[in-house]
Amino acid sequence: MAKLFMNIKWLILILVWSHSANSTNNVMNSDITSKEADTLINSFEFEIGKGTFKQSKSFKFMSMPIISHGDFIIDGERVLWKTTEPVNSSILLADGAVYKKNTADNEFKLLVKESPINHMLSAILTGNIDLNNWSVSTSKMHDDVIPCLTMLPKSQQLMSIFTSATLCIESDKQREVVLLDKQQNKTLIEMKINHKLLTVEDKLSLETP
Amino acid sequence: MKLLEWQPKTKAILWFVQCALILLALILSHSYNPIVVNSDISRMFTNSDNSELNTVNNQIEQQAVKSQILLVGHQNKSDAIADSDLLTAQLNNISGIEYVKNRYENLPNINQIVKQYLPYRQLLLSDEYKNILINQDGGKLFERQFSLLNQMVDPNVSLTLEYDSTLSLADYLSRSYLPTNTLVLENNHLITEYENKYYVLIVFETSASGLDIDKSQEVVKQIKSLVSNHQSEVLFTGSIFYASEASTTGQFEMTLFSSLSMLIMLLLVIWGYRKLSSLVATLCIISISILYGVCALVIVFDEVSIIALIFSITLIGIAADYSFHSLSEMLFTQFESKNPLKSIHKSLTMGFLTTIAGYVVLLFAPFILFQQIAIFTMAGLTGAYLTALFFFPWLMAKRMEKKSIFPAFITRLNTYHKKLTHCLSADYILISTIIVIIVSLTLFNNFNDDVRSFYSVSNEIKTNENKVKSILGQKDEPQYILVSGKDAQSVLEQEEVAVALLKEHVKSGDLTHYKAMTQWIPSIKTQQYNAKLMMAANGNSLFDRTSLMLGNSESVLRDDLQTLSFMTLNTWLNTSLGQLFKQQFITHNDNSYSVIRLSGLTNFSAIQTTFSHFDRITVVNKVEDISLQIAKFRTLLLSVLIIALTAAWLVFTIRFNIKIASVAISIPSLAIIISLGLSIWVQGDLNIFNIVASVLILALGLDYSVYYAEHGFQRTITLTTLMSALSSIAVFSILLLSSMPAIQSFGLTVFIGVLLVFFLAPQVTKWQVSHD
Repeated sequence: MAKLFMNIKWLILILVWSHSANSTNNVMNSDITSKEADTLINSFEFEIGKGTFKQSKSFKFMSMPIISHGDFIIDGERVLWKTTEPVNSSILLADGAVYKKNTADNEFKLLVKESPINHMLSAILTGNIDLNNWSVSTSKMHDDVIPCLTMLPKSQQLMSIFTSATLCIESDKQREVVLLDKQQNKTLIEMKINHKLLTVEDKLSLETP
Repeated sequence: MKLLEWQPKTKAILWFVQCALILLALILSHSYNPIVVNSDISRMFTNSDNSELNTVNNQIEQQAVKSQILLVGHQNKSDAIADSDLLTAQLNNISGIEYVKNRYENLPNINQIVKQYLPYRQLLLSDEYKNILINQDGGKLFERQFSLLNQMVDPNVSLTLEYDSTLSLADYLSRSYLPTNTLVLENNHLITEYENKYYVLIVFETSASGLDIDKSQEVVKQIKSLVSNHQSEVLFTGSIFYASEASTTGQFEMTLFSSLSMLIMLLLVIWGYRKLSSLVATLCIISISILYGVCALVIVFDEVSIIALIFSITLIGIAADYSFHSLSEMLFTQFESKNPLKSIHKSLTMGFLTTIAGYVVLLFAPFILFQQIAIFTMAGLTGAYLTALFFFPWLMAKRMEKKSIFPAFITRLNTYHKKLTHCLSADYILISTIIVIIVSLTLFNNFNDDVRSFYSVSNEIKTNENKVKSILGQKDEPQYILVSGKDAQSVLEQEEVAVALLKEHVKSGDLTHYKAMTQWIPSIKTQQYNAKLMMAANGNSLFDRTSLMLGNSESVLRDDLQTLSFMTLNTWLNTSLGQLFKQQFITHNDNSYSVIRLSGLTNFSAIQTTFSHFDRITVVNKVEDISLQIAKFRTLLLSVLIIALTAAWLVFTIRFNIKIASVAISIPSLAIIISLGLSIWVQGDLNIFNIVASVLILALGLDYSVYYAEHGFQRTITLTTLMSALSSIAVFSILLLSSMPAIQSFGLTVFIGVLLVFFLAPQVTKWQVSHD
């Protein structure tokens, strides 16, 4: 019989594991107009290019941050995030999915598909921000010269993962992302853009497995 | 049969007494255990096997039946949410709906889940983590741990790192075991976007008796009425919608077909016998047979399929035959006043027994549907038989005093029929039967046993279901794996074996996902093994590098196995995560069972082969199982038909002679083969209902042969067989109007078969000899 054989509890389980949590309905309203937001957001958008990054992850209970370095390649919504120091590992965001590869792995393994976390990572790394999914506000840092965009997720699942994401553009070639999670652990990512053109090899490395 | 020699009045009293007893039994049985008319078409072929495994499988099936889904879609997200809230409130007011939910504010959250898993932190290991520990590879372990720490955002790490610097629990909880999900929790609603619309999920459950024929119709009617008043698009799917459609169609067809059958029957009686009393007698015999049939169903079954009731309408056509035989005898021939049916009671009894024998075969079917049809018809025919022998002599006593004028058209028909019969050589019938059987044996291999092809579902239901599936991205399969054991732990241990094999099938692409409890709760044996691995790794300083980086100077591992408390299935089933799996664990008769759900199957047979040698792991595919049983039953039925023909040949040989016997069995055989041949031509293939129809053709064919063999080519026999054939043809041809392919198939084969046996049956008169 063609009857839909669906256990609705499974839908809930999937959702829970997409990082749902108790959360509030109080979604922050954008304090800028939609036109202003669009203009600002456009300036954050990073469509194509590659560079290096430094990531500092500070856990609340640790005195020293965990630091890693690596390279990134961005082409539209596809992102390759390759950590090279102190260990080799890669994250690939493509086709609505997150893939991961460690040194021991020969190929990328699917981590999660069509998950809010995937859309979040894609948005903060590429600056491709959909105002339907985010409440945004602007601020300045470093003596009020560097424009920043603070994003708060509208999705309850994302709200349970982190408190806010702040994107700052220091220059055409340098940008900063600060992520603050629910446990007040902070991740600072400094991105340096070296090239705004990609080679064939770069594009091939963005291909999904 | 001394009983039949009694005065008609005495026989009538006896008949009234037994009738009253039957009525009393019906009333008592119905008041103590009212019968439920079931319209769930998925249970049309419910297996009557009461084995433990089958009972558990039926229990699993029933869990899915109660849950129904609605999706409220609108281009504007807030309008979709508002409409879903309104619809939820309205659904709550519908009687028969037990539980409606569209708000998910209390979903288990990751904090709760991590908190519930933390006490068991060194007992739970992912496969990759475990392999690293087995290989004592410190480098790979650090790499894996660092990779987790290095995630931009990972709540599993944030929430467990303080208590578990080995990151084994974060690693265990971070595994991606779940298929794609399109739903997003927003404003406490589960929402998804599809083709520029936002869809909000509403789930509701019907009460246990939600598939009761009246309730399902009423609930669906009210839902549809509510939906029509909403601006949003509302999509629906769930068994109640199937049940409602089946019951509405079933009730309509049952009413229409039975009314048409009765009308045609009565017109036939007036046309053939031209007396009001004959009309009363026929109505009486049909009503009594239905009373007997219903009484038997009420006594034997708790639940009756509506499909069985539609099939049972055919009883009207068969029961009326007893009226025709009796009326022809009493109205047009000379007889003893005490026992006016004396000359035909042997043929009546023989006909009755051959028909009953045909239906007895269906009692051995492994499906309740056929058993219900058989019980209803056999009891109904018994009622008709008793009414003809015991009630008719009294009912027709006064009307019989004046003999009726025999209808002229029957005399003419009898003449034409005799000429036709004369033209056809009985030898020719015998030879052609043999040739046709041989040819058909090579041609009739195109059988369709797929249960899904026996009924049709409306486009509305199909479209809704397909769209809901697409929107929710669901690829869950109806097939599943059932693991059994004497207790919870042995089930978990077996499930781990099954899961290990399923992992290989996922790698081979035979399926995309599976959902098993052991993905989240290992057996205690595995937990003990994991604990030992962790202690060994700790002893070998494998965790030191990460601990140093995190600034931990002391070991966070508990290193005494005795102090560890293991996660039991009962504890886990009460956690936020475990509660979502409760339906996958079943206990029955001191045995435990777990269900492994499968998704995205591409090579099911490979999975079946893998598990075919396991005693405690069963791959369940209900549709295939039913189809296999249908195929077996079909083969059995064909064998029984051959045995029945042989038995009939022996009886006819003893009663008449070898030639009559050979022709008598050739007639229904030829009719069966030709009707099956024409059915295959019309349908493209044959199904079980065509074969079941053959049983009826055989019964009616032998019945007609008995009369012709006993009484020769008399006008009264022509009248009786004509009336009988016309009534059967009318009733069965009405079944061709049914929307159910199964009922159509049955009607088509019987229609052709009865037509043929009517024309061919007089062949037996060619060798008729005096036998009394």
